[in-house]
Amino acid sequence: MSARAGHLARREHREAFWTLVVGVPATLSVLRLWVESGGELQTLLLLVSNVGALNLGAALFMTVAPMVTAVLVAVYAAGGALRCAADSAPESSRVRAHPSVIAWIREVTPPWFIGAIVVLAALTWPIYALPLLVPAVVAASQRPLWRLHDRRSVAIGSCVAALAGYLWLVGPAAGQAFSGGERLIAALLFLPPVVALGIAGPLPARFARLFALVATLAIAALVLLVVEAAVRAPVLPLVVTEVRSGAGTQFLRGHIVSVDDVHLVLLREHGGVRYVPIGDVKSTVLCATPRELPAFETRIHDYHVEDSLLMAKGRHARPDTPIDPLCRR
Amino acid sequence: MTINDPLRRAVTASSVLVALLLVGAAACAAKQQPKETVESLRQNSPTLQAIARNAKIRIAVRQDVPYMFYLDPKNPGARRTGFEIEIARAMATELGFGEDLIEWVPIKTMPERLTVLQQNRADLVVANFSMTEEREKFVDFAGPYQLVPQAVLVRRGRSRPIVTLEDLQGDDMRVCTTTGSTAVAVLKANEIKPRAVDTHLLCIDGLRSGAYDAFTGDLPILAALAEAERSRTGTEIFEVLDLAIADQPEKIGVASPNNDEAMRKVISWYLHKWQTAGANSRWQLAYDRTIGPYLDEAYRSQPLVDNWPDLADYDAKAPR
Repeated sequence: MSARAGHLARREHREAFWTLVVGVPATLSVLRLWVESGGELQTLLLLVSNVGALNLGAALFMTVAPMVTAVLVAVYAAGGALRCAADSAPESSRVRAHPSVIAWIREVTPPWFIGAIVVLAALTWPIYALPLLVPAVVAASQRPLWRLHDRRSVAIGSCVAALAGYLWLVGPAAGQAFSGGERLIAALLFLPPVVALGIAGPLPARFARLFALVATLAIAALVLLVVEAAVRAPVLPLVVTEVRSGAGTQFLRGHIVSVDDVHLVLLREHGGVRYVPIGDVKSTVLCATPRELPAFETRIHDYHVEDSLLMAKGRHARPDTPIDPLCRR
Repeated sequence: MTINDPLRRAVTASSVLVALLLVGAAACAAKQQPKETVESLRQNSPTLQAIARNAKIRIAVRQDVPYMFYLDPKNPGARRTGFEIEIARAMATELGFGEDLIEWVPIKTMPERLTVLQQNRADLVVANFSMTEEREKFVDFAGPYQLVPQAVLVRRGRSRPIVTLEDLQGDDMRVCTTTGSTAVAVLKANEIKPRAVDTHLLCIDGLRSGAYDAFTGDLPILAALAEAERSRTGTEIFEVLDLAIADQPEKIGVASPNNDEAMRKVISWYLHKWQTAGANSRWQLAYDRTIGPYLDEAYRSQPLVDNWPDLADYDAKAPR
């Protein structure tokens, strides 16, 4: 390939990449609005005319970032393992002759991009899932922990120190989770670094073929789940509005589409749009949704394991989370 | 160890398998449903569901003792005041009902505290209701929200000396208490013959006129009545004697319809939440604004709540 042809190919790749980065979220956003409108065309048009593209994009980014990073981290980790399996397989092996597309994606992705995705995952994943990043990074980079340094003594020393630090950080929480009956959380906190010790290296050829198939199917399924979750994620915040009119007091639960001098436009939780005269609105409170209720109690240094690092940091910045009783009506 | 070492391949394959299991575990954790929550209990409580349908909560309260539960008899449209009223108001607020959505059900006699729930005339009773085993058969209790010792109220300028419990035991000693209150049994156990009347007002009127020598009842109520009298007349006519009539203080709780365990749990959980909230809790604010200044400092903290459920709520992730 000539230099010019190479340059053109790179430009095409870059254009395709940015088309993907802009086009997929834009499409998902429209699909989200469709779902949010309850399938009603007029409601959809109302939402489209009132929900800003920037707000929609930001909301989409915040709600789907953990899921998208999960897919990418899975691709890079599985790709790293399959790449190593292909490289270490005999010349005549099918694994080597036809490497998985996942392995190819891992190979063509620049390390800085993988690093950025890992950082984004570390900030947005629930804390209980963060230890999984350790074996994922080791698998993606195919650098065993004991080969972090050329001098074996330094490498092993660093490895032991890192594990000791990890135990100091997470050990009490893992113990608390285990004794509190939250075995799933205990396993997720304790096992991943142990797994990371053995995950880098070649795979048996037969296992690699099976793993390539399973990983491809699993990642495809994961992508579908991400799309499904993305289009179902809420676009507008949930509120309860107290409305007083001649007919008495009403508490309307829904999402505020717009407010002006005349009306407050509310998309009702179970469907339908209500135009409330602004003079009848007595109060409006922001509500949480049941999906925000925690299922576990374990904390790591007062950070709840179901929070992401960003959320936990935010809770420490503003620790009071009063729930207005109107939300419970 | 060489790269073709079968052992190493086996270790890598095992590690990959365990990692896949851990990914599955993380997916399960993400799908895990919260244990019992306030919301799930509200869905399971027939009383709370009925309250939500009616968009109104009916709370039975007493209204004859200032600082505890009071409504000006000359002005029935006035705002109710008192510690128990504030507790009732705070509980209604927690359940999503402001002042204008509370239907106050006045309790005129002690036995009414049971019948309003049994006849479905009220959803909650916050009326100085002692949590006893006998009453637990007919209603559910959440609490206690107050621990009250029994005490004796007497006139300051009394002609008969009343210093010890024995002084109340004579046949000619006229000791007033209220019908249906636990004080009746406590007095009889102390060989004191009480004269039971329907309301506190009859006792206080009798004590003022000299028809009774002593009035026994819950310490906060007696202290409130004494303070109300002092405030009205400008002189201290009555005094409260701590004669240790009962071994244990009584537990005052919020009563709800029998066999609605979900509702009892919800109320217990809110009471427990207040108890752990400290200085700015709804309980503390209610207490300090009403009866608090007239009782000993020892009573200025919310008692521990019995059998409170460990529920998950929206603030469960907040820093501790």
